[in-house]
Amino acid sequence: MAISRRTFISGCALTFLSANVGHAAVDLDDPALPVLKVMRGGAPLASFSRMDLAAMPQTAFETKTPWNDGPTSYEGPLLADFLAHVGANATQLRLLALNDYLVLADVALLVDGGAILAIKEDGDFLPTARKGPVFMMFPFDSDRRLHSQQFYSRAVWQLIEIDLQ
Amino acid sequence: MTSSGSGQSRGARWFVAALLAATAALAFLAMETSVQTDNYHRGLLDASSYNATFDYARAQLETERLARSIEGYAAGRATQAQIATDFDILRTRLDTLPVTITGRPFRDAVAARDDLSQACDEIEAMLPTIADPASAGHAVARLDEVARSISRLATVANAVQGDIVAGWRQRLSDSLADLGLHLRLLCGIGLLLVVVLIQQKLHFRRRALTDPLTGLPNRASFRQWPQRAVGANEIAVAIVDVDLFKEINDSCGHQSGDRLLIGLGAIFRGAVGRRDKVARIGGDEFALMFTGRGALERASEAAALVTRRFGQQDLGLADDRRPTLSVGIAASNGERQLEALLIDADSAMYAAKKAGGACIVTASEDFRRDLEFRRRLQRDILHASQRNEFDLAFQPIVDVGELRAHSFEALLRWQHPELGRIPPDLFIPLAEESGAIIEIGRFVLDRALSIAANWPAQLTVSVNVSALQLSEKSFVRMVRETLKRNGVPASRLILEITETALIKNANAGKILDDLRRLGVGIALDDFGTGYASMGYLQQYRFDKIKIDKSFVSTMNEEGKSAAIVRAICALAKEISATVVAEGIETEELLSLVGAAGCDFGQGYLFARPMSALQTALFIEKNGWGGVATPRRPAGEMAELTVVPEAWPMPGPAKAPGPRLKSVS
Repeated sequence: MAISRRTFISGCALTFLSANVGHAAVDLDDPALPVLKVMRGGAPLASFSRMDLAAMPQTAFETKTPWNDGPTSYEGPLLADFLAHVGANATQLRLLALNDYLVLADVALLVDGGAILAIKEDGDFLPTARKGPVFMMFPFDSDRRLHSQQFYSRAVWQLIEIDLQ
Repeated sequence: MTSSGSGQSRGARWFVAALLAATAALAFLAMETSVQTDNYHRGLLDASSYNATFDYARAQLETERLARSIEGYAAGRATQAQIATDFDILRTRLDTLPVTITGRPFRDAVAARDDLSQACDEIEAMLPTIADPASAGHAVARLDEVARSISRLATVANAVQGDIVAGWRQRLSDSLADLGLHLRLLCGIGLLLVVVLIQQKLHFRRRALTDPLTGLPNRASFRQWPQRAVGANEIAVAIVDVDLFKEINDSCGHQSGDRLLIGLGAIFRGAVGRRDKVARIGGDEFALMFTGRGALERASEAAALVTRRFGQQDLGLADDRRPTLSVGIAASNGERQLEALLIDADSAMYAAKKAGGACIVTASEDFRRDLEFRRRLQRDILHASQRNEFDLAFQPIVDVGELRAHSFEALLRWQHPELGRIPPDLFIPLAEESGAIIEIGRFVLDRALSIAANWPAQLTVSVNVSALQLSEKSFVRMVRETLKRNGVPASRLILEITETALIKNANAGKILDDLRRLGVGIALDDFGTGYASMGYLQQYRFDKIKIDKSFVSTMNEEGKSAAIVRAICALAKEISATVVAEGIETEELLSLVGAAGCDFGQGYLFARPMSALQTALFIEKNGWGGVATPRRPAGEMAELTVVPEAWPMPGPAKAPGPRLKSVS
């Protein structure tokens, strides 16, 4: 490969930093740059870089998922901790992914399922080309009840926006 | 009936066993089906837990989006950053594109992913030159090709996953239907089992309380009567016993006896009402219970009805004999317990039996009092000997020719401390019934011999022996020892034995022979009252025959009696026995018995029974040596009458006569 993907993206980021294409405004692979927007009812509330998320108490577990061949370890703050950190109470979340995947979820369901905002896979930050920057992950192996469409559909990869409702 | 009953219960047992086996088999099956259902359920959950089709559709969309971005970039509508993002998004699909469906490898998906992977590599290589329309055209064409193949994958996967889910659903619903069926069957069989077991239990209980022969309630059921009689104001019970049942069994066979009992059972059922109870409480013994208004009347009517109908039963005997019943009835108006009534009714039944059977006896107040009195005597008699309540009286047996006392009969007297003199006719049968007569008999013999030991050696003493004593093994030894102890030679003892006693003892002959060998004289007592069989006179050797006073006292009235007495005397001479006529009360009778050939007489004409002391005086007064005869003028004899009898005579009043009649 003559040009690395990273160089290309960086170039793009520099070139199109001010572009008005909503979700691809920054280089999502830079851990220091804000990648996760938090909104309340459509209005911006906060933005988090993955460094910010890594600074929160981390939860790590290894689990099998439908999207990996073998057990994979994930690491990131618990959704519950994250929401506490944001300091806004919400009963429902609108989760939006880079690929326009949108899903609504009850906070209680996600928290009960032990959801984390995974930022690392097998110890490395998730690149956008591999489900990054943030992957809502559940410890599927720890509870059979998680093996359902209800949770699989909430395991949002390339998560970039959380709207509190 | 019994065999069919056990056959029925054996059948029921098999049925229960089959039900149990079916229950076990079904339970096993249900468990297995349940596990299977669980597996199918899990399978269904797994199959429906992840929708692969959705991912394929999304992948198709993302592929096309990248193509549109590249097209847009060429046309100036899209940025390079957007291409980069869309490319990242598509590359993520390399990881997330499902290549298995419900755990099974999905070949089409693997091929599609490999194609996508290859396409990504190609696109990545083209990206630096993406602004070039030819390069962009290549990339777009390649992406559209991949999008089409992923689109086909989505539709195939939709059908495949649908089939798999449908398969699990079908298996699950089949399994659930099986499980439901098994459970329903299990419940049904369980219910049936409970019903059968309850029925069986009821059947066994009923059988335990039923007499198999007659179908009537049995003794176990009868034992529950007291609970049922509680609270009844009027109660009457009847005890019914078939007369001579043993003889019927012996002569007609047990089957006839059984038939008779079955018939009697049917008669009972027809004779008692629904409120009344009947039970077979023994071999040929039945009990009836009537409660409520008019219980006694109903009991009496039922007893009469049963007796009449039973009498109509044909025994099939040659002599056309009809079976009869002995019935005892007892009733109470609430003041007596059922148990007491049953005892009374039983006693009444025995009274009916004693009276010869074919008879209904109701235990009246008098009957009960009499019964109680007898029971008391029976209790008291056991201690009478220790308490010195017995004594002996002696009545002379007189030579009718010389009018000289030849022997004395020892007679037992009982002075009850509270009831006074008890007649021997009353207490002797009671003592025989209870067995106390054996002890009493020993006492009488001992006392009689100890008194006779002081008499002149010519005088003999007669002592009565009961049937029960005779049946005692050690009787002969006891007689020998008693004689020895009192120093009285055996020749001075005469044992008086009744015909009945001989009948009741199968080996009477041997005992009499042993006694005779000992030297003891044997008298046949009360001859003429029993069977009066000449056969006995032939079979056994008697030294004396005592003709019952019932013959003697009527000698002057009926010509026949005199003829019988004469015949007996003649017979006695033949077998070299002497004859004693009992009940000599008048001179006329004395001369009659003398003329008939009797050797001796006994009766009030000579003397009433006297105490030992009086007897000694009597012997002294009348003299007893060589030729001295008791023929004294009446005046002289009056001296004897001065001495009063220690006790008044029991039984029907007997006119006191002169002690010894002078015939000068």
